[in-house]
Amino acid sequence: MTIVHGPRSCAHIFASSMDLVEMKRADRSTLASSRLRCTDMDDSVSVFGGLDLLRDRILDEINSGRRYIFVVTACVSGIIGDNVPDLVEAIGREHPEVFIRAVMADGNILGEWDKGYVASAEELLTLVDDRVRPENGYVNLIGERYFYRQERDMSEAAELFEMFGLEVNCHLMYRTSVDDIRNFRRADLTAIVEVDKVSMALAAMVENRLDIRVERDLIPTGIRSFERFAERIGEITGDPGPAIEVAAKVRNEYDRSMSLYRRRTAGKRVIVISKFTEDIDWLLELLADLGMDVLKVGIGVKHIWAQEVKVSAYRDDYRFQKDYELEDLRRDLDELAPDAVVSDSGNLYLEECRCLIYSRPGPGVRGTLAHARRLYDLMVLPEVPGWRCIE
Amino acid sequence: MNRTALDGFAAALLAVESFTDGHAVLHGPGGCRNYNSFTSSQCFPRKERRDNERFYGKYFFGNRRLPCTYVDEYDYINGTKEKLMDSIPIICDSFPGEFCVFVQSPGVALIGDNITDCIAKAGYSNRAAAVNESLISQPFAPSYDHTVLTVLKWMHPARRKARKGTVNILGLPITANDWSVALEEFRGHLESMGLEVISAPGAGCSSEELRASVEAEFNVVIQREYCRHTADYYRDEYGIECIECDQGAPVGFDALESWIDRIAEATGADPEKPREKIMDAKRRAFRILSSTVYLKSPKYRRFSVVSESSVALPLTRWLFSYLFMMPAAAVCTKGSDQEYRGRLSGFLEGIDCPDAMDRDPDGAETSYLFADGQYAALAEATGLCDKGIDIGLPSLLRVNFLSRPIFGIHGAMYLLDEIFRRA
Repeated sequence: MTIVHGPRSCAHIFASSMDLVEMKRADRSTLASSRLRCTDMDDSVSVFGGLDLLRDRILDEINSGRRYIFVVTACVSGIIGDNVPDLVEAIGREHPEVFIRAVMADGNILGEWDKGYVASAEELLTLVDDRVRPENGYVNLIGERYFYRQERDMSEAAELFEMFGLEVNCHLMYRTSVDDIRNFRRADLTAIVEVDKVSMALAAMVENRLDIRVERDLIPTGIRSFERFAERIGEITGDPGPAIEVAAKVRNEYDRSMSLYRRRTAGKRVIVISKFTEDIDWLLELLADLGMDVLKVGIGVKHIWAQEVKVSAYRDDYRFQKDYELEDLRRDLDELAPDAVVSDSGNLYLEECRCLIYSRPGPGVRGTLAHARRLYDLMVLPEVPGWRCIE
Repeated sequence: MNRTALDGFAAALLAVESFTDGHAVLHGPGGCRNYNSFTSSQCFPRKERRDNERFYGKYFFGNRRLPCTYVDEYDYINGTKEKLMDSIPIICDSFPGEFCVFVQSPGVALIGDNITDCIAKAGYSNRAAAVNESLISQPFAPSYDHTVLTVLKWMHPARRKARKGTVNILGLPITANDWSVALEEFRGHLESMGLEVISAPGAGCSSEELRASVEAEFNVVIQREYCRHTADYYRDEYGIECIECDQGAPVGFDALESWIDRIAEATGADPEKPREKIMDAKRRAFRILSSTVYLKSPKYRRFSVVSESSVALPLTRWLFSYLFMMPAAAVCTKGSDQEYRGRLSGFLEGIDCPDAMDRDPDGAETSYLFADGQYAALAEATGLCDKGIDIGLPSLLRVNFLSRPIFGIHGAMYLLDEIFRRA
């Protein structure tokens, strides 16, 4: 249960985003949006403050039987200076049977997206039961954020470990239950799913608070890292035989697909754009396997929140350009005349040329192969979809 | 199921966006922009080719809808005047010949800067206005009404002599499903009665039409919640009488007929032509219903309605009397008209279903749930109802190529389609 301490607009925007996720996923088991409540702040808070509203809302939820409550602040409560942490702590003392925490995510001066995410995880980790002992064959995954993807993407990480006979113990924090968090220590292997600033912060937190080692570079994307992953799993389980067998089977299927797709893709010239990260080796490897010629790799202008944590191993093999802007793309489209652009974000020039807008595939090889198939299709499609062709 | 509805802040933005040459400007942080600019595009799509290039600059960043002042921590500490003075000319000059209305986010409303003063200082008073009141957590419909009225007052059209046989259509929000199709249908009905529709403030009205609206002889109302104060203002300031139907909005054949009759009675126009069109539609529905094999008849099945009372009343009555469906729950959302709410309650008592009033559909036996698209989809996905039927916003995943309004003849046919298809 989450209580948004703010006006109804904020809660509505949060709830609607969750609605979208849930409708896309068509998952009948959870309905996070209906577990979101709001203090419905109005004008009176600028005179009286909002703490009375919040206290009433929290007590309503406690009285209706809620036992796990997060209070998330919106910018209004930050501006009027409500002391939410003290109130939440006081209510927590009055109701020791209830787990209640405040996440200061108002975004005025503190609490950007990543900070709110990490702060929520930090509070959740206080639930971990220290009496639980590690068992063989269980894995914790940290930092999955497949917000707008479908259920099958979510299962990729779990399937990856199932191939090797391992089971996911806890997804921190992605559709996790309180029980999963409590039993966090059951896993004997903990890994971050994507190497980014937020995941790294979670990893550090898990290591510092729980003294659990976190693998930072284990989860693979694409065939080569999958093969390294299989090797590591063999080492971890102490039985490399089966792991080698699994890897060989996956490699075999991958090679078969590549030889089919290369019929259309081989020799085609592409520009790659990655606005947010240089961690795209999976893509460069895929394009190489498809026999495509990468003319240039444009890396977007850096944002503070997208701090680079991993650089490409192929820096010296391709023409990388940092701070790649729209004007650069316009010029490159004219001068290099690529067959296609492969980009992680749309923009106005890409609407006029043959392009694949990709998102980073899930763990393993399946998502990478799906991109290969799209590139294969793209080569026979017209440059611009008919619906865009209007006067 | 607990649902968090759209509120007055979103209503203000959408009401401004309802004007064909009006543009809502969000004076607030970027976090408020994405969702609201999406809903505004969804309600009233205006995208044109090359928009991204045209609106690439500051305060737009490639998106023409809801340019935003992106208030940040510096502004929270030092006030937002500096940002307003910089943004007003840039934003207003991006829409030559059109007008902008600045709407402040709930957080920025607490800073208390007077936007109207800044607009005046920047010399843009004739091209920009502001909703200075904070509408945070206010109900959606009255805030929509308030904002349309704010624009009308700001333009303050000069009084004109009333033209006989002319009307304005009030109370049709752009959040209504396919409002433009409903509007065209109403315009057609009224014109076939010999009445001229001058404007529809709140539903695709231009500033020129708004200025001309004051010469109308009557205002006719679709949903009272969306125009109560605007209608009062027209009456008090310009002497324009308002025609309302005691059955509520024209949802379903019965309420549509009453709406036409009420207008005919008040204006002296002849209702025969629209009545004949409605009868044609009823005949078509009769032929289809009497010669179709359907797996499950809606007869005796339970339905729930969650909407404003001006829609809940006629819809509930119609489903009951036209299809013999039984009401399980009827929830009038915040900001509903109290008179219609009372009538709905009286109707439910009259058919011995008083418990349906205000009942949460989540505990009621519900085959069909008529609610905003979001709620309808989630309720269907989670098995709360057999079929969720989208009768309004929010409906983020809605993509309609065929028109599906809920009002008028089109609306009745849409509702029948939804009830009988894949039920």
